[in-house]
Amino acid sequence: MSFLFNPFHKIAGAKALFMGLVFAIITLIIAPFSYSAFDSALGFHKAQFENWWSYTAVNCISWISLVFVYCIAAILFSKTKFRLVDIVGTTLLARAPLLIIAIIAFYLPELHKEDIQHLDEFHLSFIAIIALISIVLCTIWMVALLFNAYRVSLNIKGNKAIWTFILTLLCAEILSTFITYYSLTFLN
Amino acid sequence: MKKQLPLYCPSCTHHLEVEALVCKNCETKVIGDFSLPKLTMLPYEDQNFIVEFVKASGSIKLMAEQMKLSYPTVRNILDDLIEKIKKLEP
Repeated sequence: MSFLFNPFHKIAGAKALFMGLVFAIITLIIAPFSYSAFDSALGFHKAQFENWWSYTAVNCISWISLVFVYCIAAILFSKTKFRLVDIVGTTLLARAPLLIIAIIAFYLPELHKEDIQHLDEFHLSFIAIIALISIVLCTIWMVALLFNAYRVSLNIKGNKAIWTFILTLLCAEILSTFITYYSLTFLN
Repeated sequence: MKKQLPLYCPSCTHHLEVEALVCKNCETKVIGDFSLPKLTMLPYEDQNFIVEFVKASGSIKLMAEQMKLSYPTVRNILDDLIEKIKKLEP
């Protein structure tokens, strides 16, 4: 069970990068079909883009933003000699639950502008509710994985690990949302 | 059963020191007030890690392979050990 939440005790570096790449490629193949847009460090939206590669672009932006902010956090808060390959590998493997979210997204209905105007008349099916709960659970799992990736790669412990991780994740979320917003304007 | 050297006083938890040394060959006893070497003040697992680390020529990568742990996990163990040794220094 602990391996599911902290595989980085045994897997990191190039091995984690390779495993993470396999998960990421499968996720990116499925994403355009289930309209899964992973458009920020933690964010997921069901959205139809004009190009299939927009799904790849937003996912890459989210991950690179995460790696960038982790590196800044490592310089600011860590006393250890961290390796870039550990941050790159563990963060990519920590995003493995996105594959499950991309599959679950097939069971989610799409919200259109007219639905938002009449939200009180919009009904979710039982499967859609289960899918929504599963997505929330997968996101929690991903946050736990990202936290353990942060702890192991940067060797930060205790309360310092918690508050610096929250700050790091918040910065990654803001940075990725900002870059995605301007990139999508350019891509579409 | 392998006996482990007791490091802390069971009464006040202070570091224990050596008072007597015995030669098992001629039964000569040396009585005095000796401090334990720094490395022996570390827990047994840490001493074992240091021995294995030296045997691996100080390679974290090799240690990670031997311990079946990831590279940053072994590096973190080493970092913690460095901190413990620093604390032992006066």
